[in-house]
Amino acid sequence: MEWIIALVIGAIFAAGIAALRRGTRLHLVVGLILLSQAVNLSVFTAGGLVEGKPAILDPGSPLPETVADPLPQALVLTAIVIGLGVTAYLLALLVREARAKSKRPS
Amino acid sequence: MTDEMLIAVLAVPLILALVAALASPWTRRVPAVAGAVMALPMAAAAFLAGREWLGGGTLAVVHAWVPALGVEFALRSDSLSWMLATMVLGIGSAVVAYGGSYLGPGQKTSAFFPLVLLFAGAMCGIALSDDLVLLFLFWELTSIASFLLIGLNHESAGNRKKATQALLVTGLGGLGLLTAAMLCGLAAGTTRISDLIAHPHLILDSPHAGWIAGLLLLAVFTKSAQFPFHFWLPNAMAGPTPVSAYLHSATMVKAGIFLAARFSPVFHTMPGWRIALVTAGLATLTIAALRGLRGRDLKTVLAASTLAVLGMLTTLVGAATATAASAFVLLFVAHALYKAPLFMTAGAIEHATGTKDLSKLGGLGAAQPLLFAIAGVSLLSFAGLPPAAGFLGKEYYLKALAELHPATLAVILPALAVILVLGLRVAWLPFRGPVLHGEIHRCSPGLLLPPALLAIGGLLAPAFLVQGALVEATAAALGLPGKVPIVSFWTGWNVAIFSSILVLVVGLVLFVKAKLHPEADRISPSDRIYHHTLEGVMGFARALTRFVQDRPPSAHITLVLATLFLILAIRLLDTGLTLPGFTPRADLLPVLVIGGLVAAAAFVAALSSRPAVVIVTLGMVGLGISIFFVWFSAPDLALTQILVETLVVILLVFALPWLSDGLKDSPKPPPGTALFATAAGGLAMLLVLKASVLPSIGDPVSRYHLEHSLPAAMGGNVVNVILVDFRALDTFGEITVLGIAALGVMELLRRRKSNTPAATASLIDPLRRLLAPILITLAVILLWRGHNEPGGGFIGALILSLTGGLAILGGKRATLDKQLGPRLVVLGLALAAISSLVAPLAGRPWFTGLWLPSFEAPLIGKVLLGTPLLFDIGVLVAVMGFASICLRSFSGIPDPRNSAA
Repeated sequence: MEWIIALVIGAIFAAGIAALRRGTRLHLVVGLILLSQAVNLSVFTAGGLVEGKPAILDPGSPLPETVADPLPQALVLTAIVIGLGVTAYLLALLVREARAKSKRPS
Repeated sequence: MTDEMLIAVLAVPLILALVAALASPWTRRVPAVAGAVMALPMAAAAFLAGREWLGGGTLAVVHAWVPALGVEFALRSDSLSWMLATMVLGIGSAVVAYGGSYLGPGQKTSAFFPLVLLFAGAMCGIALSDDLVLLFLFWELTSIASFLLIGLNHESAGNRKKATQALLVTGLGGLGLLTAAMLCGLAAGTTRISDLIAHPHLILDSPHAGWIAGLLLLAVFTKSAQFPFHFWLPNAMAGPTPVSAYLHSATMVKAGIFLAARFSPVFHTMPGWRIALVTAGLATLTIAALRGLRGRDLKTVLAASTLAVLGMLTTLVGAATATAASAFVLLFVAHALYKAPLFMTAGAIEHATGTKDLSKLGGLGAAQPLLFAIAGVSLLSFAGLPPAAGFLGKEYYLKALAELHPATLAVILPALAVILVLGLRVAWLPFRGPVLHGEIHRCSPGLLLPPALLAIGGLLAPAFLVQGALVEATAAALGLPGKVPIVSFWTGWNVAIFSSILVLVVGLVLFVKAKLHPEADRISPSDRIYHHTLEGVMGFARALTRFVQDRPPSAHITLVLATLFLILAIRLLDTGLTLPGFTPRADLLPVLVIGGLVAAAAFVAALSSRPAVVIVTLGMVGLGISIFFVWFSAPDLALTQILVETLVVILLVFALPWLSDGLKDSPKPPPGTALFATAAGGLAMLLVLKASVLPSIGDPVSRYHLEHSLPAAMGGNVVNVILVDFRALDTFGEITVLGIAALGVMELLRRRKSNTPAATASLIDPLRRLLAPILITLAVILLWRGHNEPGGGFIGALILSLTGGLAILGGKRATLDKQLGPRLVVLGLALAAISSLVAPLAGRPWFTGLWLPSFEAPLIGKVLLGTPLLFDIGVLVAVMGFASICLRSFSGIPDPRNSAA
């Protein structure tokens, strides 16, 4: 299953780079979002893929033998939220730049 | 007296600063009263410090601070530190009272009080610190306070430049001090000042000794405006007069000389140290005399005379004899007590007549007799006449220099005569002669009483200085060989007294003969060098930026990414590659299908030129990834990913009209893209595969988290526990970043005039009415259960934000108050900060999670309240603030078709 996810990550990376190279404002945002998603997924995968065993513990029972690694998950969660902040700021910056350009007499 | 006295003296101005900041609505309205009220605790603190100074004991307090670096919160006091602290607090008390009356009601005054008190606290910190790193912090704080206080008159660009100059020059010295502190740590293994002084050989025998001395001197010369850094001080006069009186004459500029005196026990045997101090001091004195003679402005002349005295003090520290040490103490005290009232008098003159120009002042004595008296008494000290403290200072200065080398008298005597002329010009000229001024404004008691008290202090000071052990004890702190002479007014007919009389006669003649300089003040050569240097740095930065950035963004991105991937590829080749095995399983088919869809959607999003298609396929990528998260045991990630994706799509839709131009013109990426993208994607794939066969990146930290989550942090959802408890500081940083990003968004998208949003989409409004209560309830539940099951502050906030998003799509933009977002951000950060501070109050480390005993509640079940829950609520509120700022700002983006015209 690592092979499938790795292939998907590779594809998203490639798509992100292609988007960035187009040079339009929209694709700048798209490329950045794709790249950050690919990176998030990479960190997540590097923590090990575990099916159906989230790190949610039951107070009554002992610690399970295999369980998903919570640390990369916490890191990726933080990264997703920071990515939101960066994307919002980038969008605002691009809108401001476009507006300034449209006002400038050409 | 207990050692806690040290902390008390340090705390008084700092607490007052906080009070003044909180009470700013009050201080703004009645500044004179506020100043008088705040002067009282300062005077009390000055009294305590003065008593310690007279008492002559040493106190010390040490608290661990940064044990890993060997840095401690160490305070220690001897007579030298109490001398500085007493001056800072005593004159600070007068300045606070005076400043309130001088500045009058308004915004500036309410900024003045907290800043000047903060400065006073920082100066006390410099006086009392026993750790070089701690001293550096206080040192920088005084530089920053000075910058802000000079900048109180920030309306003119010239003043802003001058404030920046003071900051840059003293900041340069600050860097020198920090480097010196680090080298001391390397050389002696400690940054404790008392240890360094007790064992001078620790530094002197190390290979860094020369560097440490040089860097300390850099700090001393910049802070105390010694040649060649003297130019910033006259420019600092751009600040309000109380600030000039306090920072740039009586106290801050003495911090440098204080530092030199503090380290005199270590370095006084080093010839370079002594030569540098003596030379710089003499040069500063000479330049000050030449500059002062050209000055026509009251404050310019006072600044020049201040520079002169700073030069004299520097020379005395460098002279490094017992007589010089006692002269240092006498001059230090005397100067503060006469120069501060003279500055205040200058401010009062300006207040009364509306001018500081000496050529327009005269005959004020009749109208302002009290002011004249204050100026006269201060002049007595300035000119060095008995029985004022200034007499002692000057007499012992001359004595020390005559002992050092008689030839120095050839330099200093002419300079001193000129300085006397300056004193007569500021304290005599405006009051005598024909009346030149127009109508006089009355001076309130707040403008007269503080300088009067200080001037009287200057007359009374000799009672403490003469014959007693005070000067002896203080001078001993400089650690110089030889016996400190007993101070007295009459020491016989010697070189000093003859020189004094000569200076007096020449000075008086010069005052009568020399006319005011006809031209206004000019820029000094070193000031010009400063400007050229600054311009050079800026010009270099601009040229570099042009060189690096003068390319299209896609070229930049390619360069950065190509470099990154090259490094990764080399690393991969270097370490070899082991690939995991692949066993086809039927139940993996859904993963394969979704993976295929995600990859396809990503390529469509990247290559399509139709905005709607791009946005939809981008959403599909996010959705597919969140399904992966669910599949591979990360429910919190899946929820966060979906919600973030939704919010991003909403923001993208709002911004889209401005993003899509040029889409049609460049249907294809530039050539080479396919190759580059394929190579990078392949490399990424290999890296992920390589990482997946390595041991988990989390071990052994993850194991620790899993084992301690329930017993220590009371939470079953380990991911959430990591976010709000184990690594709460990271999360705190994260919501801070979000808050800053939101403020950036708000500022970038701010509109000059608000136009009413178009009333559209009434279809969504009923939907919102139906959904809003459900979403809000859901968010609260998710927050509450987040510690044990999927959920938490981030997820709750994102769901709540969708409610706001729906409101906006329903045309209810006005329902989002403009202030709401920023307030939520601040409130959220405050809640998170408060939750982190509970533990220190209970004696536990910062950010430790504390829980109340659980109890059973009807309907909810077991209730467990604790600081991590409060922290999570803070996260929720801050992220809400971020989302509402973004939604409000983005929904207000005008349509390009309307605004292009």
